[in-house]
Amino acid sequence: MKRAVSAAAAVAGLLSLWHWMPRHDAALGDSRVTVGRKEAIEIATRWAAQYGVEIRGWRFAVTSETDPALMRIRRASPASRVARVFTPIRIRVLAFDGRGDAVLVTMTADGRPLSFLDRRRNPTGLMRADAAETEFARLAGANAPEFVRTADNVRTLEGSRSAWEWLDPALNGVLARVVVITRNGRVVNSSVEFSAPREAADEARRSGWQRALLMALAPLAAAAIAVLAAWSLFSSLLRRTDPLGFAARFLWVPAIAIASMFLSGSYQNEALLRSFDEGLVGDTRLLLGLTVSLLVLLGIYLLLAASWASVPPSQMRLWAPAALLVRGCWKNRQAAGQIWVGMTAGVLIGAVPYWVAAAAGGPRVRFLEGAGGLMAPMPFLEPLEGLASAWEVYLVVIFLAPWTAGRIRRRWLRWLVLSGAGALVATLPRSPFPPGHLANLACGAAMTAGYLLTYLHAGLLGAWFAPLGMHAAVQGARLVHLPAASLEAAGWQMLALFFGFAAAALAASFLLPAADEDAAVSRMLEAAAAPPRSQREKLRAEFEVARRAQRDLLPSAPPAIAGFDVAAVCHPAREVGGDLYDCLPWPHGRWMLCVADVSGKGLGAALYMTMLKGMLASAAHHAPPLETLASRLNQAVAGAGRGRMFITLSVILLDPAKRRAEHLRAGHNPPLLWRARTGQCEFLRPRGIGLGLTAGPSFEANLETQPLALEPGDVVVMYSDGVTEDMNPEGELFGEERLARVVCRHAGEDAQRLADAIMEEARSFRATAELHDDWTLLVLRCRPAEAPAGGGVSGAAVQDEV
Amino acid sequence: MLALKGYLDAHTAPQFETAVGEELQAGHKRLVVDCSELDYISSAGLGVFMIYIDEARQAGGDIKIAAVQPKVYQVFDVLGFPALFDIQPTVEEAVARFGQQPGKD
Repeated sequence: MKRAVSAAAAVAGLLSLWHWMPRHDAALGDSRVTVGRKEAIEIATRWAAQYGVEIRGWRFAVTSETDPALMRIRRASPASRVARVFTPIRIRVLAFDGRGDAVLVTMTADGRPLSFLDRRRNPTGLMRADAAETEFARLAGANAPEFVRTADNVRTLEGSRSAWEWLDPALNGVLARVVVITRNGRVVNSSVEFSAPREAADEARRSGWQRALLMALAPLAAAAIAVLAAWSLFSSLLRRTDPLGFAARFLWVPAIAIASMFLSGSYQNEALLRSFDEGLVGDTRLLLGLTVSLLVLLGIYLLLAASWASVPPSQMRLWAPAALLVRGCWKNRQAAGQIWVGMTAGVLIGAVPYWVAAAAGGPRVRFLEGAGGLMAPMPFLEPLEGLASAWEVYLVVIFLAPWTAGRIRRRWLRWLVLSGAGALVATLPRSPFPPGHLANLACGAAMTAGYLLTYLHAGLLGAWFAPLGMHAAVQGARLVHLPAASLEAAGWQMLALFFGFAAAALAASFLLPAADEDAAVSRMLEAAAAPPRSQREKLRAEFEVARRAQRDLLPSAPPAIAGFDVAAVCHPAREVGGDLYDCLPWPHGRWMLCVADVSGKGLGAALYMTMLKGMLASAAHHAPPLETLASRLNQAVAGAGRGRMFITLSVILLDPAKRRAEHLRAGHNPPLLWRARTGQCEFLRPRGIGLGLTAGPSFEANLETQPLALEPGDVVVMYSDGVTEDMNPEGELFGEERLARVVCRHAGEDAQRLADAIMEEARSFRATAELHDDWTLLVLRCRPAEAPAGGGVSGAAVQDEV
Repeated sequence: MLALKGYLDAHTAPQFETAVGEELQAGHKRLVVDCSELDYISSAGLGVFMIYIDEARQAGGDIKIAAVQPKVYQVFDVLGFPALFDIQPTVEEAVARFGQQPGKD
């Protein structure tokens, strides 16, 4: 549903752009850009040849830029002839051969010459006596008669300087000036300059303090949000470190965008020209660029981490697909869907400045204009910049929106704050309208609202990819409308790239399986609820104490019973467990051996286990019949647990002298009995309900004591369900049969070795899986008559009580 | 009629508990729990039965368990559940049992 809505939005956006752009876009207006990179290089090469300079085969850097003076003239007096003849957009072609020679050719957007700069060390070329005049004719073109010569071969450091000026009589102070510098009959430097001193002063006076205020507010607002983000991040780092992990893993998205800027050559392109302006030739300033990029990435990293730490539970579902994606869960239908919705929503958002322009009826949209990337070797990669440069989105939508969601209750107030912040901050990267213009605010607020809607419906990924869609659509639509062949081609490439990527995302959102969002959300909730580190340390210390206390409650060593071997093992699944085994001496030389399992695990179960142990210990004093003991235990557990907890218990009351035992099983796993005479295993299953399940008479009615006569060599194995329900990585259970098999195999050995064998079998079965329930084992073996009385006994020797 | 599907353990038991509670609150005191698709039950799940059985029986109804898979029945059986609960092989038989014992526990 969302995908269809956003698709419709994208279509609406594209149609809007198509319709309104020609009328309201500055680049399409009367800029008459008919020259792309290829054409510019060709033109430059041709002109240079006319000067006798051969630059074919040299390396080129091409950028486009706006002449601010001409822009001011245009704005102030659009009727001025100067403004109409010369377009504000210039294209600069720098040719250098890598050995220190360079030539800079500047032309108007429609390919007419504007300037020529020869920076070769040993200049050669055609020499003419009237080089200056020829050059002037070339630059002024048809407007030559308008100019008046003001300097005639004046000697300067650079060479012979000649100048012509064109004063527009209609407006005072507006002029165009052609300057030509020659040396030895060769043109070294020629240019057309513009100045409009009075207009500039007028304009500054007119909109003075308003503009200044707005222009100051934007960076202030951005700085305030950034400081807030930093503070929020560092205070959350006291409790949790997962924000840093997420931000680091998500960083590859903007990193790819920045990398593409270098790979497509657009950064080097710009850098070459800027460094040339400062006197260096061929310096791509890679180091500077990388440093700046790293700083940008750092800023994005910190913002991402701060945002992640501020996500309230109500918005965690919006971040879950991104969280899954960065953990490597590529088969993520939700993430693909969010990317599609974001990109298509971005198209509609890109149309907003043009609506505002149409509504305001005035200023032209300079949106994303002057991007040098258009003249770069691979202009179609330029929209990728949208994945790393949308600071207004990062600050306001990705950080401020989750942060305020938890703190500002009233929805209308939240939207107000966010739109206001967006209105201010949105002018920062590149303002669609001239700086200080009020339409910027309206535009910023509307676009922020658009991004917010996208975020609320398509999460982090949607908001992150929306600028990509916006860049691609706006730039693509603009380029397609330009008359230059190479630019038009670039525009179609851009749109194709965008559609291809978006279509892939859409297809993936149908074809890929759904990822487990709930798991991701619960992980996020857990991380968000984490107690401060100091508290966690305290908890860990307390658990350690509890674990040791519980271990001390268990018998330190199995008892030495005349004629019998005993071995016991107890591994809790967590720090403290709910299983228990005990070997208590009873009157008349008897021994009570038992294994018990409290329902549940962890601290609660451990506490009830302690209660049971106490009751068993006290029973040892008055030695009631087993059924009475069980009945009393049942009442106690039913009363304490109130139906929410039960305990299963298996008790063997052994009379070693007579080699007879009584066995009572209260809901516990049936113990295993191996008969030496037959070599067979049987499970002992007298009737018995678990303790605490019912306080009524059904407990006693369903309870029986099983008498056992043990013969030399017989083995009784009592265990808890952690043994038989142990799971291996494939999900199989250990099971009773496997236990029986191990016992049969090793029953001839003494109790300790048998216990070890069962443990070993369990460990190798479990392999890499975790122990998920307490593992308890008690082995009782009636020593065969042949074995010497003192051999094979493990554990401390404890005298039987008589 | 309540049907259990999949795993009834500490994570899912609260949902089951709420469902039974709601049924009893609404006055439906004769409940049959269809366990034909129940693959696993832990002590938490067993505890849910224990919590509400007295309430149901005191109100003159019962909670009957039907169509339990063999593995799960083992768990019930070891614990002694068949002595406490009416466990029937099919849902129809469990429902029929309600007809056979009007007002009887």
